[in-house]
Amino acid sequence: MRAALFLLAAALHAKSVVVVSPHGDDFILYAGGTIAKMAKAGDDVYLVRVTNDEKHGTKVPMEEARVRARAEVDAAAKILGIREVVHLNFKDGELDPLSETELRTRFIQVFRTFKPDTVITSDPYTRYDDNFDHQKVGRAVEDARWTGNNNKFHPEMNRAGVAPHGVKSIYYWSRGDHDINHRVDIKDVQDQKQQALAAMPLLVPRKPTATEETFHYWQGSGLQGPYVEWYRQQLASGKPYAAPKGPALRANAADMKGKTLVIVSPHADDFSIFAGGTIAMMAKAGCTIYMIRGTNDEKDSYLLSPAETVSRNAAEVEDAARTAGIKEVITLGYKNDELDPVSHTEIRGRLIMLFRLLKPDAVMTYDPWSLYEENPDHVKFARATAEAAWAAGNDRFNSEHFVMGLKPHTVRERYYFMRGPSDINRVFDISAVIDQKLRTVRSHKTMNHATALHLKDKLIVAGLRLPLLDKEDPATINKMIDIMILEAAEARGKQYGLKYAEEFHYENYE
Amino acid sequence: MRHCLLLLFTAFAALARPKPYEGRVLVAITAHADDFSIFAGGTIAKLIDEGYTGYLIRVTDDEKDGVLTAEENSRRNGREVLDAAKILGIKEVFSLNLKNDEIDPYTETELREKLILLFRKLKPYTIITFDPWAAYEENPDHLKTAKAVEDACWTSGVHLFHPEQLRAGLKPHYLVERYYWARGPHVVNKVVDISSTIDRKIAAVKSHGGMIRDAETLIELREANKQLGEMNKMGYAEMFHFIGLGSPDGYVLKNARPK
Repeated sequence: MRAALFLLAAALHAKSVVVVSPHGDDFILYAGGTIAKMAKAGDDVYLVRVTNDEKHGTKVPMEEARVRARAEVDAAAKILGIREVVHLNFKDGELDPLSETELRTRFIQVFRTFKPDTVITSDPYTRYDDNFDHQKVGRAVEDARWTGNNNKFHPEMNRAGVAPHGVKSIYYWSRGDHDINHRVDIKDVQDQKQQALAAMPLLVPRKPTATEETFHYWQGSGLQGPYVEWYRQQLASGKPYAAPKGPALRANAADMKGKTLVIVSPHADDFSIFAGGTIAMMAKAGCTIYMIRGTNDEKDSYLLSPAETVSRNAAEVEDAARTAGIKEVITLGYKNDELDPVSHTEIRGRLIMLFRLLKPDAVMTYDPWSLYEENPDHVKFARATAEAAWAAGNDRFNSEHFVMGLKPHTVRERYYFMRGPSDINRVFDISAVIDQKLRTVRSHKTMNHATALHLKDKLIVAGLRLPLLDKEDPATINKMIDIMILEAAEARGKQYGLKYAEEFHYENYE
Repeated sequence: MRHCLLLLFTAFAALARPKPYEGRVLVAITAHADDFSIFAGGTIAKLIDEGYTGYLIRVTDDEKDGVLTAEENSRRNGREVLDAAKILGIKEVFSLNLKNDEIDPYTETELREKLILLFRKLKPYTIITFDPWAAYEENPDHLKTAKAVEDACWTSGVHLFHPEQLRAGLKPHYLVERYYWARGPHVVNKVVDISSTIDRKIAAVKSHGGMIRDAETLIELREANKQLGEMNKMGYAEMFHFIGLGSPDGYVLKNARPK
């Protein structure tokens, strides 16, 4: 307790404070009260606004939104007692093509200029925050914090008389799951925060257009109770994430009756392996299911040429989709396992178009925040899907789509499957459709053959052999794949007293 | 000189011990010259004592760590990493020389390609590197290195990745075990007793004089390894997230036979 009081005192009597806000509304929603308190205590608070907020507001032209957003941030900053606002004016929602090194350079410059004792920004280690601008900014700030204090970084700044500077403490806010270890009571400055919020009609709209989340901030309460702002103070407790949620709920596929589901499967076999049973049950219950297949799967075969691999996997995914009850497969055809140079914004744009076209109630893909996920294609598509699900409902994103007669469409429900540790909150009993799942997975003949023979290769390196794989005929391959699928479904089911199960992280933004 | 005596002593000590892992290859991948010795020096030396042949891949040029000019830092750190590797018994060091702390614009695919090539050439049974899934890792070089390694571990076994390397005579290669170290919180599932190698580990860390400039660091590191050891009823210890062939209760390991 005394340590906490000390931290609070140290934070509140810092001489210089820099707040780095990805968007014009973040600093006020998550730290408006803290900022007002610091300014009142005599600290010099500076605000760095990273993006131009052009995607805020409906009905307002984008150019107009930029001008108004800037004015609103300046006005709100004045009310909170912020001394100066630096508008970096990067493109809202399109930070991805910007190198982290470049963004870091901007922050180093700012830190060396304002010499903050304390920095406040967005937590890059948060989970289940589906706006990746927040993560990118948080990460670059974290990097700038220590590189800014090293004279080997940017000698040109030294030459210009801007000396290295060490930031003493850093506070991270987040709306997602993160390790909260510091709370600030903002009751005495709540009026000031309300006034500042009122100065932002475009960036923080009042009801009825306000989201439930924003409404909470208007009420002075957030996710952590009334009149409180919450932070992770850097490394203070060393726990990786916030407290675990309650037990996972048994889910019912009949909930999807009459609805539309779009699956985003980076590769031909991801959906069958991790969700084949659930998909089959949803289809049976009367759900219309489409699948977007991300890559061309050119690298998943055993000793075939790339061209042969592509054509076989493309044919086999159709069989698998038909067996599971999927209506249509749409292939984006990105180069398999070389997605790294492709921009996140580009993939997201293509997903937004398809979401506006197919109007799904729910999307299903990999969990973007699952740990130990060794395939970068999975992570890249998962993140693009999570962001596209809400961005598709915002008319500022990819407005060229409206020429085709499409309309904004928000995807409310998200089902995330995973192969690593993750926050599981939905479980489907797939015992009744386990045979259908096995048949679905067996359709991927080329990939299954590769899975089995790569396992055999790996065992050879380990000095082992699996007698089952002495033969390499299709019947043997099927047997091996059946064993793997059943073993995984059993292990997942066991935790809930079910014979076979599939697990998800589920989110619903009603 | 002291290093020579230590090496001599090590050679005798190692002769006396059994070598269950004769013929296996260990590849350590380090973002910077000093990471591998600080986080895993004891484990690396121990595996080498037990028969592994050890190699080190160093990703960056370390130009920003030191009190000298960028050029001189890079040269000094590049020499000292060889000393540290030698003390731990590592046979050869491969420096990729990417630009230190400006690794961001290199694509992961490009870094992965270099690692795939080396994995296919060196044929590791085990690799050891940073945990790509650790929290609060504020150094992007560490993270990018870890992610590229994780990706290279399985792609090096697939013939459709970099067929030009196969044309040049390399073969696809699968590795079996991964040790991930971290400086932030991560999922720890393996603690290694390094009592037999702690002195060599500290000597190796000490040889990075350009990067480890405070003698206090060596004392703190030894103490941290000791505390972790005590918590696990060992003398000195290092901890990892370990990934092997899978669950011992699964079908594969229950039914696999010696080759």
